[in-house]
Amino acid sequence: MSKINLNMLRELKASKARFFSITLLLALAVFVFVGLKATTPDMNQTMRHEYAQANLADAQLSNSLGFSSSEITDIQNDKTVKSISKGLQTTSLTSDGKHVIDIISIPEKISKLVITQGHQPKKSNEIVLGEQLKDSYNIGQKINIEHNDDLKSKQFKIVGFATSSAYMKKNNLGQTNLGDGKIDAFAGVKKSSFTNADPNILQIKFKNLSGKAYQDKYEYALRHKVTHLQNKLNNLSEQRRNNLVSDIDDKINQAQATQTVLSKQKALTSNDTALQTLNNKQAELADQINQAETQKDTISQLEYTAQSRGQFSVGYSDMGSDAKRITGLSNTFPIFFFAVALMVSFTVMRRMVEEKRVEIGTLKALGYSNYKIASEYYLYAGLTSIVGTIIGAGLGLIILPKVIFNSFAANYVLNDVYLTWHITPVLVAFVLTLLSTVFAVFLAIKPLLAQQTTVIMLPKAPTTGKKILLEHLTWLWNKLSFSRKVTARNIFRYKGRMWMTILGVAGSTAMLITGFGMQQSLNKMVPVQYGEITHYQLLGVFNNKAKNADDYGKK
Amino acid sequence: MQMSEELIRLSNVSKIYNAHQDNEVRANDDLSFTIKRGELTIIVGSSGAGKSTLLNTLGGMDSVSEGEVWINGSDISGFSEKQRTTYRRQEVGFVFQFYNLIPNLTALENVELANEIAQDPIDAKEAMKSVGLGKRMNNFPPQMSGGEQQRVAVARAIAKNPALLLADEPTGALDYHTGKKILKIFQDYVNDTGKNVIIVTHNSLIKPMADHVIEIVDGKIKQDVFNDHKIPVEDLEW
Repeated sequence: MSKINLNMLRELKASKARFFSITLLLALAVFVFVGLKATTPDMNQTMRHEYAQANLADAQLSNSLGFSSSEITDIQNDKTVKSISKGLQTTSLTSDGKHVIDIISIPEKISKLVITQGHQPKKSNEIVLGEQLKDSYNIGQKINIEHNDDLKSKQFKIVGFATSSAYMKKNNLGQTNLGDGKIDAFAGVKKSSFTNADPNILQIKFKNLSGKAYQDKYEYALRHKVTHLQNKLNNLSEQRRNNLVSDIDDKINQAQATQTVLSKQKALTSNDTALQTLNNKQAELADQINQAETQKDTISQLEYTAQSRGQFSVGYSDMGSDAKRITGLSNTFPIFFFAVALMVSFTVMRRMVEEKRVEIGTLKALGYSNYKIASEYYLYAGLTSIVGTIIGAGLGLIILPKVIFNSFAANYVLNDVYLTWHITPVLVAFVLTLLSTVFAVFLAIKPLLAQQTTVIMLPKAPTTGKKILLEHLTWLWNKLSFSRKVTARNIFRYKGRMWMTILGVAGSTAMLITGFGMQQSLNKMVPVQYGEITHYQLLGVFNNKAKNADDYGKK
Repeated sequence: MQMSEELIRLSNVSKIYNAHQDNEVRANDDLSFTIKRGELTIIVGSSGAGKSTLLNTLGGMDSVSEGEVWINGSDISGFSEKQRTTYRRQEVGFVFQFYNLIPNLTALENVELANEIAQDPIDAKEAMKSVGLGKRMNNFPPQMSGGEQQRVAVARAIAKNPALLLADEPTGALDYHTGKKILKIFQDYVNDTGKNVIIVTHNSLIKPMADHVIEIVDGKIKQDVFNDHKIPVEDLEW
């Protein structure tokens, strides 16, 4: 090894603290930057894996009565639809009143369930529960539900647990008027467990949808297609309503015709018993006509709904916006870390070159070229950058996305975060570190080497002392002890040092306050909202279309 | 004195700071002299006289304001920074008053530092032995005395095998006896190799050991004489 290289190597060994303090500080800045930059795409990729594994539908169509086969064919033939999966769904309360469950028929191809324990139901009295309930029930147990017209049985044997990309949250999976108003979990049963044959849920995959989940390309295109399908559904539902209503009208007409006949009959009879029978029949018919009218009201509220992923999948939108939130953070937080790291390493590298002034001069006197002398320092600086970037990026790519994802996913039922490489932020971070190391050396060594060799070999002339402003306040100045005076002078003499200290402390304090502030603000939200702002425990809504609406308020 | 060819010729050389201003300083003022090959030359003068400036010019460490500096057939006064660096590397060995050794390297490595960039160097170990430090090669400068460090510096300068060995107040930081030893090394070097040594000093009492004495006062040459009968330094007392 050449002696000039050996010299730098020995310098490295002799000042390990300096080398490692710069390296680790840079590593920290790189860690935060690369880690945060990697988090959003990693979170999105993780979700995309979930969706791919389940083959999550692009859209879900639903209606309370169920879709007829001709309606399904109509939808299938729509030019935007690639494939449809038919399913049934109903909501039930458990007999012990503790859980409200969305029970669905096991999806075959689209929006599949992923079995995490046990196996799929093989018989119609078997059930697979969502992971949301894995702490409340065991495999092999029986689960009882309150009577539900849609299901053949009230008791099921639990044969497994599963996850679903349509029900990703751990709780509060939707609103219902059963139990406490919130859906707690989903569960899967065989189609044969349902009483009704007409599917009331259609899972849709669209043609010509490019882009990935959460990309604008995908989400905007999806919205268009869903709107298009909704229009189609509006037509279908109108037809259905009209058909149903005309059926009922027919029945009403028939009943009214019978009423007329009965009235005529009544007019012709004088027999009391016969009259009584006729009156009874008329009352029955009147009842039936009333019921039919009510039915027409209910039918007028029949809607077919088309929902995009953000609407039917509980957790889809939230996870997307959670990931996006981190992007904002990744553009601001690292600035502080880098600012502090850059300032410190900049100062240290410059000081190192200044310290070695006489040695640099000696080498120059011996006949070493500026290039050869400077390259040693560039090597040292470059090494801190490289090592710092490797450590920071390595840890950042692994730790931060995992930690952040897990904190968001704590309330979800999801697999582990999916980590990937992100070269661009690593390269950007590396260049930034070079600014504070290699560039710092450049700024210090270039003017130094430009001087005459004999000047370099002499120690640097100290800067002349200056009186500071405070000294003009003689009454105050005279009260200070000598040490205090020296301190005051020093603060202003070494301005660079002063600013570094102030900015460094300011930046670090800002970050601490931000962190704690955020934590405290978020913790305050629930008590303030539900303790001070919202004072009710229950909300009741008047349904002015109800049968007894007019009776409300009367005694 | 035998007739030998010229190694150095200075013609009207001046080094001027703040030229044409009120605070103009002429560190070297219109110097002209000649140094022949194989000379032991002493440049003597009191502090601030301008002798170090002159030595720096001869060593290619500094540029001149006026005049010509012919060394070994080239006029180095017109050299660029790069050319001067090359000249320094190949033709000059420098010994400084404060040794200027690299503390992170051993004595031997310090010598190798110089010898690695030279074209036709002497073996570093040989150079160390020739200054009597064959046993101290693996010590670091902070572990050595002043005299030993200066000898390392001399070995470093010699190892390059330069045409010209320059020493700026080499005994300034040393005691009388140690200083004498160093001067003896220079003297023996001239006698053994026939190469030039130029020593700058403020101690006029060692003038008798040189072939050629140049006295500088106030930046100008006051005296430029040759000793017909020089006295070996070990016989000098001061």
